[in-house]
Amino acid sequence: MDTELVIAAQRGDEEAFATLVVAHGGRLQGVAHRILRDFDLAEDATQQALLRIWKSLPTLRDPARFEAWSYQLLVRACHSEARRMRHWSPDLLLLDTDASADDPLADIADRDQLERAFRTLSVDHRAVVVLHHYLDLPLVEVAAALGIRVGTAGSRLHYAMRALHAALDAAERPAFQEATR
Amino acid sequence: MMRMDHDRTRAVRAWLAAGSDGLSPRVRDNVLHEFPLTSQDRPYWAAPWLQTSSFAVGAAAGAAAVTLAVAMLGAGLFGGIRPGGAGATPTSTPDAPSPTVAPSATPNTLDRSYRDVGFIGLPPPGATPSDPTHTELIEVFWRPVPPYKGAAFLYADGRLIWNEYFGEANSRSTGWLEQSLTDEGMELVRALATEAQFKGQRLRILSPEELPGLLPARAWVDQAVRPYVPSGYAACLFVTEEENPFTESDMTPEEMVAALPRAAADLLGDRPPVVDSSNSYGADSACLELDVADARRLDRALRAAGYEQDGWRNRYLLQDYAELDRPQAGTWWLEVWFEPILPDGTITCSSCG
Repeated sequence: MDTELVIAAQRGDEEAFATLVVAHGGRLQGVAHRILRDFDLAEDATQQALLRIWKSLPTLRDPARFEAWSYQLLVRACHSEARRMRHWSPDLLLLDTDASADDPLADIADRDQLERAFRTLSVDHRAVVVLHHYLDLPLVEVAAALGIRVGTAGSRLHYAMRALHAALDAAERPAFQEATR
Repeated sequence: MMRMDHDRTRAVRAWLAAGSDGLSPRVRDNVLHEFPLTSQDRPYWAAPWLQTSSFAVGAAAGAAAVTLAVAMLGAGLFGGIRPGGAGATPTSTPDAPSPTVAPSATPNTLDRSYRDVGFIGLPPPGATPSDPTHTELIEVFWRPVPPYKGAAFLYADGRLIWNEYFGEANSRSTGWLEQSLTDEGMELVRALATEAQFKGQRLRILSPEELPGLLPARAWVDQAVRPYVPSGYAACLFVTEEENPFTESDMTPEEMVAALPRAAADLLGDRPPVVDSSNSYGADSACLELDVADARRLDRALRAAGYEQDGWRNRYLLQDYAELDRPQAGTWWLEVWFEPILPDGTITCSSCG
């Protein structure tokens, strides 16, 4: 993926890096948005990560690993922004959703419970879920992107999904549905 | 009837798939503007062709980048770019004596070098506190959108104390800066901010960088940008869980002070609290007032106990501190943040950006 551009940007080619920013910045922001669940913080994390990517790009030994490496820097930036979130206590915004008849999330209770459960997860756990279930990265690549062992990635994914599945089960319980009517 | 695992996973995937994608114009503009001003790290192992400085490549590549950006994204892309000083190379000089920055040769804007003037954390040795030390806060402005993003505080004595996010004092913020307005200048600034409001008029916006172009010369007592040097600091104690900074702790201020290294705890006993005007640190924090001399003593006590400031430049992260085995699950860190007290006696998070 864009290896020539990455190599050129490593050499300080600003045109090449501008092209990478435009081509890949959207995906990075999408990941940040899903990890942080806050639009402003996701913007700041993406900006922080992109500038760090430029600064550190010459230290990337294998240009072919640019994408995975960029996710690693993005998750670090998300950690940093999560700390800021703790400081600034912003209004947390729910992501826009567009439920349709075929949507397995047609029940608003599901979305609400998932949102709540996801926010109880650490940034590390969120990152594994997002990279695996949003970007469809295999667990081996998730582990490589985050600089952790595959077993650790698997363990985090298991823990996080168990929490999210439990949240969906809770949304189905009559008491919850009664309470949300 | 409970769903099967694959149904629940499908629901999680659908939930993740919903929502916005794409790079915001704000982020795109800021990054395309900022990265050419940032030098790249050059590793010792880099191949010879990688050792070429990005700035040596600069002239041709820079021209090409501008051409590309304009061609790709249209003339409107750089609408948010700050004029002036585009060739400056940012450098962090938080421990050096702080210079001042005069208005640029271009009379309508400040030179970008103001971003290197400020500091985060304790002031450089010998720095004279900003005068007067106490005065009334007249107005708070927030500017959450480009080209300037930050906060500005207007005081009754005419000082405009402000910061900009993504500054160089700690790579996140410029630190607090100050300029001085006449009475007429104060009224003009308030009028300008009232005209320009943001998000349903919840936030009044102001761009100190653009003020020179909006105000007459008589609006300024002193247009030069200086670092704001406080006469006192708050030591904000704050406990956070290693894995999940969203979790609030149940540790009391007294418990947090007692958990500090002995010399630091002795310094913070019976200190009055400081108002955290933006609730930056949350209800489970304690911000305690110190004069500059005692803030330096606390700094030395923490360093003597082996705790150094980290990249925020005003935070000491007390990791693995034995006293922090909390009844709550998880690994807890005690953090100590130095916050400059503003002239109205309050603090906010100066380093957050």
